[in-house]
Amino acid sequence: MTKMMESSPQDRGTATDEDTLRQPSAPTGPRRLTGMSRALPLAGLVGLIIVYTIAAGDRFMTVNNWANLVQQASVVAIIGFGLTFVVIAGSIDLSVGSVAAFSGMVAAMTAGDHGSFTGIVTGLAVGAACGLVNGVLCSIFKVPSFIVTLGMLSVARGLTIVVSDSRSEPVSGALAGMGVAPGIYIALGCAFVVAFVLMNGTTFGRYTRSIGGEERVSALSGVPVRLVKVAAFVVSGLLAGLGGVVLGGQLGIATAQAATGFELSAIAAVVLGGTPLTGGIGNVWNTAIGAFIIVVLNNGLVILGVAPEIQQVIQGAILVLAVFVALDRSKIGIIK
Amino acid sequence: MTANTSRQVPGTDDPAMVLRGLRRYYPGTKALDWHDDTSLTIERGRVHGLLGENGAGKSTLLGVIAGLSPLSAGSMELLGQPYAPDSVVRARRSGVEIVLQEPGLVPSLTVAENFLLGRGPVASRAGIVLPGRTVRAVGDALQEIAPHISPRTRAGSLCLEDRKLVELARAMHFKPSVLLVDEMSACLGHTRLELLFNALRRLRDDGVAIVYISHYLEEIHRVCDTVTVLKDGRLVETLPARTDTNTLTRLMVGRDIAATLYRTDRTENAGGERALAVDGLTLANSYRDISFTLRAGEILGIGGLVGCGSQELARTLFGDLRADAGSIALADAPFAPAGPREAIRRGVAYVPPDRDREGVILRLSILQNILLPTLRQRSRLGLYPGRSDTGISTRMINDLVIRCRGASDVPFHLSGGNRQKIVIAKWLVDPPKVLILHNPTRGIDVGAKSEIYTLIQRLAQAGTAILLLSDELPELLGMSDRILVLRRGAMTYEAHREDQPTEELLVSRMI
Repeated sequence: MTKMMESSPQDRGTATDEDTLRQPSAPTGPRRLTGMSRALPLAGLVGLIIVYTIAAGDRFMTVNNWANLVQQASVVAIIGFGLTFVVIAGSIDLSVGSVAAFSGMVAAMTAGDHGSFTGIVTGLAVGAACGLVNGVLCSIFKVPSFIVTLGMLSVARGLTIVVSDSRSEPVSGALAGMGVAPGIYIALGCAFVVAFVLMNGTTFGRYTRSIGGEERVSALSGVPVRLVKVAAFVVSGLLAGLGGVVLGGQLGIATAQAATGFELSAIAAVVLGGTPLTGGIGNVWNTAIGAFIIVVLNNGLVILGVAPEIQQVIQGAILVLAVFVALDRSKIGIIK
Repeated sequence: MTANTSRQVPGTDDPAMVLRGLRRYYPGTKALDWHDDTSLTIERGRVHGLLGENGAGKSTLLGVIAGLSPLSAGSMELLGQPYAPDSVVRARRSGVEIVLQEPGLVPSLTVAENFLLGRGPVASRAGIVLPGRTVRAVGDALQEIAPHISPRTRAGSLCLEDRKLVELARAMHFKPSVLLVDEMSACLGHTRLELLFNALRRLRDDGVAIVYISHYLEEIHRVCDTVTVLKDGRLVETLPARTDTNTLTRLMVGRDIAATLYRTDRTENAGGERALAVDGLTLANSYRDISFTLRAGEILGIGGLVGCGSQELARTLFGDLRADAGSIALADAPFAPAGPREAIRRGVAYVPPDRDREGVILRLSILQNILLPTLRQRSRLGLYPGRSDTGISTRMINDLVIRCRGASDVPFHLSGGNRQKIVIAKWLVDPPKVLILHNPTRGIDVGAKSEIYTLIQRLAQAGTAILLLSDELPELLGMSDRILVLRRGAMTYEAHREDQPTEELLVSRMI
């Protein structure tokens, strides 16, 4: 049956070729839609802000509230920036929350003995190392990323408890400064700039997209597929580590339970920003928008006095709705 | 087994199947295109061979009979009754079984469980499947054709050959009145092929009608009673299977070549410096002892039927597979690429046959697709500013006349021809020394085809050594300076342009 199956994709093209020739510049339906869905997350965020401004502008549109919003968004955004690389490469990293907690804990403990700077560097190194392990297992040893990082989710959380001996570690000095203004803005800004440049101004970023687009084509085009996939996980681990350090500063304490469930918020941020889990497309600023959608949505609901349990219901519904609206289903044959 | 164990109505004289005016169109192609008054009769108790080039419509015909794909027009009769299966399951219930070219077993299930899939119980009481009896029943079914396979084995742990035999045993177990077998010999070794033939002969003697596709004439001669030749989706003629090879080959080919599409010169370009030399290259189960030299500016065609090993050979030359023995050399130095990256660095480029899965990334912009292989050369310490991107991609789009809205458009929106031009364009940003093209014009319209042929000639004139693998004989004959023919992994023939080889000649060396 090879023949048969081959012939259907083949000549789907011929018809469109004639169309293209006939009307070379007329925008067709799907193309307009792609352009629209690219702007949807931003439009959604702006829409949310407008609604809340009208409903409770006096409390929502204040400098204080916005400073608060940015700080709330920053940890999920930083973790999400790293996750974006893995997702665009077509894999998933479920371990980011645990890795953040592990890095935050190691940073806090090291900072206590050797100073904040050493603490921060060690924390980031731990995150990157976890990412390296994920990457090597997934890319070289071919264990699916879902499984590898699910394992790491548990391992990193367990190790956090082991190294801390179940005790919380207070955070002080420059390390604590990472979690409050202006340190938190600097951390968020640096993470964004680094991630943005990596994604858009390096061969690594281009390769990541091409691998997510089609791994086989990339390999046949000379892309070092395995190396790039490992690197994507390292970036994810590194930024999860930074997220953990910032979180410790923000809370003033590193605990073994820190950042529990953050992997889900980070995935939500990536997806709400318009980066599909199927990989190949998306960008870092999308994730920033996604993180802000989550935080702004919450913040408004709190201001409007919506009960916490109802907030959860709304958040979940919004996530599914966003994907339903934005997803281009024409390309995907099977949804798993 | 006797004749009345199969599902035929005893006493009627109707043939097993009558097919009339069958048409099956895919957008842009006519995979089956019979005239209204064309008909084909499949007799009971006969092995009916189908013969034709790659793309002649053999598999499509089988698919239509087996309910895999609906007819665009035409009608079928099964044992005198109208027959219009809307699914494989319906076709099976009517007594039509098919063994496909592709593996048809679920690897994670046992052989016995695979027998049960979608077929209702093999052994049951009051609707409850009896596992022990099922295993025994399946064991009995296997006994006839492949006694060495246990029904409890997981299908995935069987070798490819045995899996095919299980599929055959399964099809036979359900006592079909018509059995369709698509090209099995490519994956069966000599002894198992013998098992297959014996099984087919026994079925035939029980009165089952068998339709058997083979690429190889010797098999048609050995096992078939009747043979029908197909070409370009149409029926050519139905003959006794013992018809001589020459007649059959002549019927398979012999179409008018649109001469203007291809090169017009008849002179053979001997080429310049040696660009690629292959010596005694062997890859187990794919090809063996392949030796040839390709010179700069030369177009060397490689022809053969699907499964002849040419695809593996091309992938080996591009570093995507590694040969077991033999050596490759580029212009002056030996060449043993660890992967495509190294091949690209050494100036070898490869346009794969499966455009959408190996050639272009459908959702990545044309610009990024075109620049992918050369990103590294234009980066500094991994930083990629992309300043020259638009210039290069625009030049490529203009040079190759890629019809699109701009470099940021994605290939998903483009036709096959334009997608193919993108695949070629990405290799021309940094012109290769050796360009391997596999079915470069498959499934694209005539306009784009001729543009690609012109491009190939232009590249050859500029000194690129071109290796052209193609399933289309007119293309091979029209474009190549020399043609190598592969048959079951071995080189069987070398044709020179100046000798003006014919399609018949090439086909006779392939089958």
